[in-house]
Amino acid sequence: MISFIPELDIMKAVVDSNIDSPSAKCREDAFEELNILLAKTQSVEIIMEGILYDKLKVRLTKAHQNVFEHLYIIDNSALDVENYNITKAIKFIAINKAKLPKRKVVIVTDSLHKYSGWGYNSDIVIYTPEQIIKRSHLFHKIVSSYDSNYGALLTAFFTMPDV
Amino acid sequence: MYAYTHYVVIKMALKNIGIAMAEDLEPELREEHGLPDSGMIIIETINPDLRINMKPATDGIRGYLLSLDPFIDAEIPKD
Repeated sequence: MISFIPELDIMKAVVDSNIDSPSAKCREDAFEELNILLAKTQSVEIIMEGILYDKLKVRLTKAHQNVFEHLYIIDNSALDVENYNITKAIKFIAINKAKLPKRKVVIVTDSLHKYSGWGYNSDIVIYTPEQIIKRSHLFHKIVSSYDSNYGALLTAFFTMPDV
Repeated sequence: MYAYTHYVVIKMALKNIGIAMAEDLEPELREEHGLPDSGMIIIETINPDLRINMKPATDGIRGYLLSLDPFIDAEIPKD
């Protein structure tokens, strides 16, 4: 299973009424790619970190929240931890997810500096929206030559050094 | 002596949402719901009668969300 965790910058773009810049469009496109992977494979989950989701909810009606709560995993495991912000909470969730067998984590953000110097392991990667789009396209290109979607996902998101 | 019980029934239509790719669905199912051959499909299960609606998400998840309601015009608090 691969857990994709979008940061606040990605989700802000998704719930903006007007997408008015190329970078915001790229963030929204990357989130759409994650949803296509979710729809296509049984090996993907999208995690909404709890503090992030609480902030995002100011933009969401009940109907929107219903969609989020059915499609995505709302992870509140770091919600009430003192002094935790979204980034700390995502790191916490990522480390815990990656400890599980056959689990990998992909954090999606344009704010790579928030994660620089963080001592994560090879089961956790951090990609920009642009990298997500490229790697997702690679997955669609190679998937037919693999026995399982998971194998193709691993190659596209973990094994392939550069796309 | 009368025993009186007052019931309040709140009728709520619950909707379960799923997504799939049209190309992974059976052709008969696509035909039944008038779906395209490819692209993302939204699957809504309406409770309590378990009625299933399938519709193409032509503009993706964001487009689907916007088809339900406009986003609330509010500032997202800083982290």
